Amino acid sequence: MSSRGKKSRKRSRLLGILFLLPALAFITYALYVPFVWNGVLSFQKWDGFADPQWIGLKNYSKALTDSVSLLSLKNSVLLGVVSTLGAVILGLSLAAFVYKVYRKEGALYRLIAFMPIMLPAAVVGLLFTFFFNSEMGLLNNLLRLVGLNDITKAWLENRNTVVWCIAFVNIWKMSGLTMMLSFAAMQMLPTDIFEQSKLDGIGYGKQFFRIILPLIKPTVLLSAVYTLAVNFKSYDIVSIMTGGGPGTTSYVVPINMVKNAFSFGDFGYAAAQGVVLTVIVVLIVVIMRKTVGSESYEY
Amino acid sequence: MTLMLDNLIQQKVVAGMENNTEKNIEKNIGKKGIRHRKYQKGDGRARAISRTFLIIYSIIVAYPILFVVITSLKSTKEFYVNLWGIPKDIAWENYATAWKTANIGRYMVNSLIVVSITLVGTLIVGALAGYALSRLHLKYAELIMMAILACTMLPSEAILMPMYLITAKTHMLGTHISLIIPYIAWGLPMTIYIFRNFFDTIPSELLDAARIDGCTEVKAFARVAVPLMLPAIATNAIFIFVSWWGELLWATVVLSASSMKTIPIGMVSFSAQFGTNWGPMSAAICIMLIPLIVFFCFVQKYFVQGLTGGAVKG
Repeated sequence: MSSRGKKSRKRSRLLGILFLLPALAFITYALYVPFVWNGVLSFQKWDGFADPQWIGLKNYSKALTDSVSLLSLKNSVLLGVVSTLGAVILGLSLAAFVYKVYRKEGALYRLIAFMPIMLPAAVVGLLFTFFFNSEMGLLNNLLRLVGLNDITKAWLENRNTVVWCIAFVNIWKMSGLTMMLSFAAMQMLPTDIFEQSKLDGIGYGKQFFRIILPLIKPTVLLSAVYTLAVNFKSYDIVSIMTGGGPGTTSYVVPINMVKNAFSFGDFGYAAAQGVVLTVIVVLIVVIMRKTVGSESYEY
Repeated sequence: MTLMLDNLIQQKVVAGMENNTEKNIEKNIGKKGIRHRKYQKGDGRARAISRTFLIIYSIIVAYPILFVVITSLKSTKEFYVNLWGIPKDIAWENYATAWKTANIGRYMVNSLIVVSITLVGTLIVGALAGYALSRLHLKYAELIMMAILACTMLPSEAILMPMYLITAKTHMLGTHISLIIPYIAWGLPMTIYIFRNFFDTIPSELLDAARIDGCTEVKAFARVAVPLMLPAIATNAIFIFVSWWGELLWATVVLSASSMKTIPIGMVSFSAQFGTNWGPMSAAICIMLIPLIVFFCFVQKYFVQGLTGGAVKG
């Protein structure tokens, strides 16, 4: 009996490897290999045609001292952190609210709040170019309508507002994800756990922060990490809304990279910027895991 | 003879088991649903506040989209005179302009081909891998999962240039395949992670029972695990469809000179031509969104069903 169990365990393990192989093949081909190659490229000077030359850490020292590169790094980090924080907090509150209303209307609110994620970034970019447009834009027209003429401005051409406008768009787009995932996790919670607290007369707000939030923390962390990754990758929205402008004010790392590689033919320098960005993203995720804590409760 | 008997017993046991689990699940969900409703009832004030906030937020989200739909039906002249109101003469010609000038029909077919193959491929490969990592006693399963998940942290730009070189060297530039393979690969880490987490929530007794009753591993996967996974499949399908329907950067790089262009590229070049002509521009946006809306409505049904237990009851 036990030998049979062992045998079947071995067989399922073999099958497991078989099941895993296609996925690993895809990932190796399109993620690991290019990523390692990118690492190699970051130590070389290469214009795309001639033989690449090894130049050591020069690309990195340039990436960490050049003012445009530093600005794009700062913008990327700022946008990533602010957008993720905003999207997760907004998404969580939406989930908490949807949990309170009746099921049918809740489904409608969820559908609407989830819609922006369905929109391709290119479309969102175009939509908000329109929204922030200084003459025909919705925002300025709305402000004029309610008599706030003073604060109308050319939002995307203004150095002080452009980055915050992009952050706003990111939050608008991504908060539905946290809402959907957190709500699904809340649905999985057995409702018995509320009964005691209800008897104690604790309000919904306290219930949410003391009971629900700790229980769905793993889901929230997952959606935060995913949102962060998406926000750091946001090439489409920024390039369509501002193209990095005015000047270089809203440059993010991807835009700077693409410019350096495909316009100035400096592939090695662009690759080094990619590596720096990756390191920063990983660092932020590690800090997030440490501060939020990844322990999960049994229920 | 004995073989037949064996088969018969096996079938009965399997059938019994399925019935049993179905009943159990139904019971649990029924119970949960009732309690849930009961719990919600006696809490009017919190619900009123929630509802107010949700309605305001829904307006903030829906309004810009609605505005584009309305704008797509106004002629340019009317747009400048009547920015806020509904169109007086419905200007269908915006759609005709967008369809003809931007060649959207062609791009749409290209996008549909690429995205549907990517969708099916990612779901199959991802579900297999997720199942293997969750259930098949692999050594270092957690480590492999971490290694795969680490990929989601890579900024796509950090692999863009080498990927371009690989594609060029294998003479795939400008083909559908040059989009499909990377799209599948890039979507896999998240898909595998979601599938693995959902497989983890299936009680292992369920699969063990199927195995003891003589289900092969493949059968256990297909007959027991997959039906329970409909919500996970729906979730993944939404993520995959949405990410690749509008993917711009990689498509631009690979398809720069090709008739295989996908719809986002078409949109961007169209916006370069028609940038301030918001009527046709909005019409193009609407056309691009239609397949997304259809797909989401279709999947949303399973999504909600899955969450409320309908999918499990089958």
